[in-house]
Amino acid sequence: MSKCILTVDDSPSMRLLLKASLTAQGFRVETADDGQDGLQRMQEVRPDLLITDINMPKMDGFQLIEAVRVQNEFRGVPILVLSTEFSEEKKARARAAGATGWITKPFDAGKLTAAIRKVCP
Amino acid sequence: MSDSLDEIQAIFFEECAEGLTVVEAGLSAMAAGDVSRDTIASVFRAVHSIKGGSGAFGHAALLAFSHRFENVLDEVRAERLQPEPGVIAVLLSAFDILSDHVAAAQGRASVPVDGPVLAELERVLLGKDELQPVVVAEPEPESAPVDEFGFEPVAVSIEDFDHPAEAAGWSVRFRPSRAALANGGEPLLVIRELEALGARIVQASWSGLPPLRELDCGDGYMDWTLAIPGEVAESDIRDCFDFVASDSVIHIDRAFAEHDEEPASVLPAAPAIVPVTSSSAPAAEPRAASSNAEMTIRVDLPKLDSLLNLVGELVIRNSILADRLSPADQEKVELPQLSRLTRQIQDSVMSLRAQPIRQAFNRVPRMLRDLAAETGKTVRLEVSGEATEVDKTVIERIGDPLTHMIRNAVDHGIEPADRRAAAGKPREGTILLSAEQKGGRIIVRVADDGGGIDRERVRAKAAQKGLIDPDAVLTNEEIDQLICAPGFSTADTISNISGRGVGMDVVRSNIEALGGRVEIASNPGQGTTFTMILPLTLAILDGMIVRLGGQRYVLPLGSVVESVQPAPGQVQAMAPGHEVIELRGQYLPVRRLTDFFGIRAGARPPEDCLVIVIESDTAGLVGLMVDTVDDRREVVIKSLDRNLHPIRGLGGATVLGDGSIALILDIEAIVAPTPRDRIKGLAA
Repeated sequence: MSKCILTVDDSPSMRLLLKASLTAQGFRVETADDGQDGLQRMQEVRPDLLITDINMPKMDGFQLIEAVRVQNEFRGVPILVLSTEFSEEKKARARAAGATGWITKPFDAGKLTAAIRKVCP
Repeated sequence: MSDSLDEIQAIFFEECAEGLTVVEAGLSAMAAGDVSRDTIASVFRAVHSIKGGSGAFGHAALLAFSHRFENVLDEVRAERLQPEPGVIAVLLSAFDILSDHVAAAQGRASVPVDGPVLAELERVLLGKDELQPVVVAEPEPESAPVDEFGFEPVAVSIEDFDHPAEAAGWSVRFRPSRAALANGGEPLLVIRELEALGARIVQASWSGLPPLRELDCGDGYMDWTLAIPGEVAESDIRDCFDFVASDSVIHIDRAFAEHDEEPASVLPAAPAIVPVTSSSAPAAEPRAASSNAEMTIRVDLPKLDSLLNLVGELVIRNSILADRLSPADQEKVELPQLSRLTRQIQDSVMSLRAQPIRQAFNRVPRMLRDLAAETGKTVRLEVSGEATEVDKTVIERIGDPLTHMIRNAVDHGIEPADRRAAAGKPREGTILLSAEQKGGRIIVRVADDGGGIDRERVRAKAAQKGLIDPDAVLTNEEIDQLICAPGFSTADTISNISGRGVGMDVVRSNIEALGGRVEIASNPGQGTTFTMILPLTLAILDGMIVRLGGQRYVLPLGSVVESVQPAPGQVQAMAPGHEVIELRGQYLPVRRLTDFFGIRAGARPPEDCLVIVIESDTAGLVGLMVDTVDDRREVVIKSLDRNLHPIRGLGGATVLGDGSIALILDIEAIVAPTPRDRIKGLAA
């Protein structure tokens, strides 16, 4: 059975683009519109990998990562941050929240797949 | 792909349209005077999103332009570039071109000619740079590692072994930390990725595994060593560790090929320190620019400090052994070899704490820009010696004094442009900031080409404040020193910048707390130079053990010139409490340390004492009278507890070889006239 990825992004085009390119790579892809939605979808989808944006309404990426990481069942789920932000301070915050890795937008399919392969077998 | 790319693109262009609306609204608000953080951030974010999508959808021209646009906005957002009307006008024309680029990407128009506007954007960025041409290049966002986490690293380089790449393979050691596992990192994937490069596991060590009861499945216990063929680039190996938390053990070494003619030495040479990435150019370059010779590992500072402490203890134990064993026994247990090794370890550990002073210098350019904006004085900064390495503590504590000196130089030193022009100087002021290592000391200079210290005004002010008598006879140097007197401020009007209640006296005491001192040199009309002289290391001191009233004290050997056994009559009293020693036709003042510390040991005749001649910074050559000299040795400086009342003349304590405590003398404090002498006494 193919691996399932949950992507959380408030930009519809980004969600669609991610879904399209990841589906093409053979992943099952579920999407959520913001942090709050993402947290709920985690429970329903139980993905093998979470990819989240940082700047989102309602609940931002940092809060989402923290909220996911404190749940025992999600302790081992790799989390990649996909954001236009590249400041070291933001990265450190993401790491502290429990993120596994970081992909900076704009991304291409190769970069995305390489990053996913690093955290998800 | 499930959804057709065209459909997704259409949605992207809708977002672009929204984004452009936000940009236009934001820039218009800025033009109307609203330069609030939120407005600037909204513009930045909108351009940022357009850039993000354009990259993903392959619109190269749009990506390139939005990237440059974003760079300028980032400068504004970070407050490195003032959103003045001129800058906003450029941003507005950039907005127009951005709209055209979006239209072109949609196929609604042809690709716009963006050269002139790009040049304008470039000019705006350069205009900012003119203030301080030496600024370290900001890392290009695009060249920043895609997936590197921020971390303040302590970088350790292992010397380039200078072997051709194919001669030796790589030896990689990997031990994932608890944090790496807690964040969902999977070591197996890292190892697989390494294996894809041709790695094979040479050793998997589980010696760190605790008994089952104590096993914490969230912790990392395994330790792998892998061999990788030499032709693989180091950057490729490092890439495998991208997502591994930085506190994991990751050693990447060139393994020695077996036929190497020189097994070097058993111990590699003391590792040199690689300039650590500074705060303004964080962690980006080491990997991007990694040559295959340079390797770094990251170590938490507390670990280093505890290592330093342990090594200090080791040094002390060593001297205890040396004290207790007879020379023959010392030879038998090979103590000299052990001591030598200990010293080498100590040197290596000390060098690990050393960091380029660049870290302290980095905030100066930004400060100068702020100051330039506040005072209207443009100042060019020249920096040299920023790679000079100093102890981390020095870097931490030198920041405030440095800030104050720079402020002082701009506020009081550099004249307004008109006055400079009238004096035949360039309108733009210059501040030289330099660092160098000289002997066991670090010299940091802040020199301006301003008007120099206005001695008449300083004098008048000091007299007015009651620091000196109005008719005191003072040398120029003495007047210059007055600006370091507590509570002194020369600003005619309390400016925004200086005159914050922190004066040069605080700078002086901060530097003195580090075991250093401040010197001032001023040339009327030509400028002022502040020189901070700091000890290279804060932990080890080459000391002379002397006795006073039966107790042992440590005198820093660095300032000792010679020791003299006075002949009868060689030491003479000029006045009660003022003795001099005649030395080769020269008279030097002599201070009895027992008197200085109020040790009641009965006055010994000078010929039963020793006079140690020291060279002090404040008082020149001075003789210090001690009972006798015991020994000379390196001591580990322990600071005195903060709860103890500070005693003038004592700089710390140390543990001697026999386990007893000796106090370390602060020579400058002993020979310097007391603050009252220095100021009031001058009038006498």
